[in-house]
Amino acid sequence: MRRRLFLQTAAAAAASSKTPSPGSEWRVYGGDDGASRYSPLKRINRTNVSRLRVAWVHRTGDAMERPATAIECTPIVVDGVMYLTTCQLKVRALDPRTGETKWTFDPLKNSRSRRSPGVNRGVTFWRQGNDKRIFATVQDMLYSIDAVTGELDRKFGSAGVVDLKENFDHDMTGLSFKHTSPPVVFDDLVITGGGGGEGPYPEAPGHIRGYDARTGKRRWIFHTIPKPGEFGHDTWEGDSWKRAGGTNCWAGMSVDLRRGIVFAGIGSPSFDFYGGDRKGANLFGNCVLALNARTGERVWHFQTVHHDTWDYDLPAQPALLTIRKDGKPLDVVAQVTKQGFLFVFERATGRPVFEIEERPVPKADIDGEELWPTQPMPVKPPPLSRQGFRKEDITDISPEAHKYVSAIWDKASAGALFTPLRKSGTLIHPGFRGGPLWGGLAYDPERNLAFVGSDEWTNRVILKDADPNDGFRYALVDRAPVTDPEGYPAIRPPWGHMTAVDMDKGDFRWRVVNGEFPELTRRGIPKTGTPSHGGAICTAGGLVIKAGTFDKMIRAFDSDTGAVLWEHKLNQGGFATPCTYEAGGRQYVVIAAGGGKDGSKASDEIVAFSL
Amino acid sequence: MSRASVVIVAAAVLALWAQKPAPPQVEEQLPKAPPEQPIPFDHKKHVATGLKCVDCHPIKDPGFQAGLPKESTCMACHVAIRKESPHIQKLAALAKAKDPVPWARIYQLPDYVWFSHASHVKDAGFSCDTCHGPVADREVLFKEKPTNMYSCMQCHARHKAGNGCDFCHNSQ
Repeated sequence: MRRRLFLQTAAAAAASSKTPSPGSEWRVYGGDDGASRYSPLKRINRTNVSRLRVAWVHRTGDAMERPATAIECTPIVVDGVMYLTTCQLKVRALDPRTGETKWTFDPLKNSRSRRSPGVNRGVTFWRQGNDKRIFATVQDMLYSIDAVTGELDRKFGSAGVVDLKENFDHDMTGLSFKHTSPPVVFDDLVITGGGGGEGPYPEAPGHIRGYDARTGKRRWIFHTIPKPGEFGHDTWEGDSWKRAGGTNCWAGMSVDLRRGIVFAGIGSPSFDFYGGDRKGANLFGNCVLALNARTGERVWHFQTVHHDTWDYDLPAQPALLTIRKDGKPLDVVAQVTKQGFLFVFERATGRPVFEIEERPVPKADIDGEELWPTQPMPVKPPPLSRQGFRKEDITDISPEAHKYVSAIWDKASAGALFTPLRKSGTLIHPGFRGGPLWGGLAYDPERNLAFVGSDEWTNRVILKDADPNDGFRYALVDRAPVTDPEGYPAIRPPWGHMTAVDMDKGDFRWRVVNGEFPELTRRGIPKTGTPSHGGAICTAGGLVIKAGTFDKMIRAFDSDTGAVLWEHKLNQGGFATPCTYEAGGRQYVVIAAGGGKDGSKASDEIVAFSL
Repeated sequence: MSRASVVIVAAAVLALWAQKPAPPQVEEQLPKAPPEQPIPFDHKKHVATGLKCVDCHPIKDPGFQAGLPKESTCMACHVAIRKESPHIQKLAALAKAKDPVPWARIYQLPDYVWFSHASHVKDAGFSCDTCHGPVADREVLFKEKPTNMYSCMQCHARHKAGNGCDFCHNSQ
């Protein structure tokens, strides 16, 4: 008896001191280096998820109501510690079993400006030997933080910090720079994207850089707007490459560790609604870009929108998956787009897995513009959102709503995807937040299914002749979402979906309306779904977990059917992608419920669920 | 329906509205008439007494908002001045009940705009009338200066302030 007790105690001690296995933690922002957002954990599964309860709530303590802060962070959990960013972009370490704070590092301490702090989607862990570092890109700085103490690593950059505006091969005078997604790491390199905005004024480009993870010294740079002599430079007419900006990877990258390739989805060039002063295809705007992670050299690229004038940034990490195609494993890159496409490429070569057609699109409808005559459209999978806004798409939730939106539609230029912009107003659907957005996709390798959340937002762009002193031709008057008089989307419901895509056939396995406006349901309108923020994750427990809808719910869907097996109303919207991990023998699901978007109240809660 | 029910329903409607996106914006059309206020307030008359803008609209840390005066602040003077006026009596009643005056806002930015009064007034040294017009000359206040994105960006360009999206928005 005594011997058995000893053995049990020893086993328990060994278990508690054992380093957690990689699959039991959420060590990377995207779940793994390839951003598949999949966890092999299954303690929480279809049979018991209905018993999921709040285990702990961590209040970050720095929410602000007006202007509203938000939390887009997905916490990572490494070696039994959780790391996250807060409402005002502090980096914090927590005990993942209790939510208790271990340390906080405030990158903006003593320098917090009265500008928007921006948002941030998380941090990156890196280790070499016994050294553990957290890399955080906050606004325009890259920080190297000791993962144990929360202190800056003074040997990195300038006393622990690299100014991302420097060493950028571009005159940054008067330009702003930001990066809202965590960097990626490969061997002893930390690789960052980010850049300027996409407005009509001069903006920073989005060159990608690899830094020595120990010293912060720049090892390589890839110019996303190629310089003279570089591949793709001739896709920018004249000197337009000098002035154009944007073309940045704001949604984060993914890494094929075995092949040594880093993948980035690139945003639109600036100005993102008029390209008459940057004629050409504008590489590497809107490209899926594969770079040699060691050198930054281009391996391959695919441009998903030529000469973009619709703000169709690539809005999510390229997801590196090993799908089963025709009975064989195939390493692919899967890229969701704002316009609702899911492009799938062979990872090593960029060859399309499903055929992509270059289809003719309308000519420009505004003086000075020269649109590209075709745009790439995958034959499969089907679009994840409706594309374009036709008269029959106008909302029908009430006669008043229909009449109001009809008046807007009648005055605007509207029609199929890639309807050319007109000064007096153009409806763009899907709008600037998709379709899918930065939540990307989640992939279940057992089921060979990719799960994608997608929205149905419409934006209207109105331009006008700019002031002669502005230095550009057209100014932006309006780019707001188009809604009915009550604030609901202008297009006929549904307004939000969760979709499971069969990656072998390229078909939808299931598709369900996601989210609800209860007050509309009470008016007898079939469940409309709502737009959402943040992405889904999936688990070996047969679950797809997603929050982000306007009804403040976090839900677990059955991976096989899309049926909602569990839902919980958060105090404010969980406008982030959740994570899941095991700690202390329990599996947790954690979501940042920071609200603060679309007029909702800001909050500061990191909420953990467990059985 | 009881008064309490009306209040609950109204609060629910407001709460629901707050969860939804703002109605679409178009190029700003300035109003042709001032909004009706619960209590008439003459800025010209008050400024003439020597009051400064920040006396009634203090910019407190972190400095994003310029506040509205507490009703008790108003009553510090109006306990004696024009106390017979029905408007002042209404103000006094609100002050006694510690209820705020339901002013009709003249200038209001969406909550996704990070506009700092402190950085514009205290740091950059702009006067209030840059964005609000000649308030000190107005007996009745109305919106006479646009505060849309284009007007902000033009001013930023003129003064070589940043015009990146993240300057004023929590953009992606």
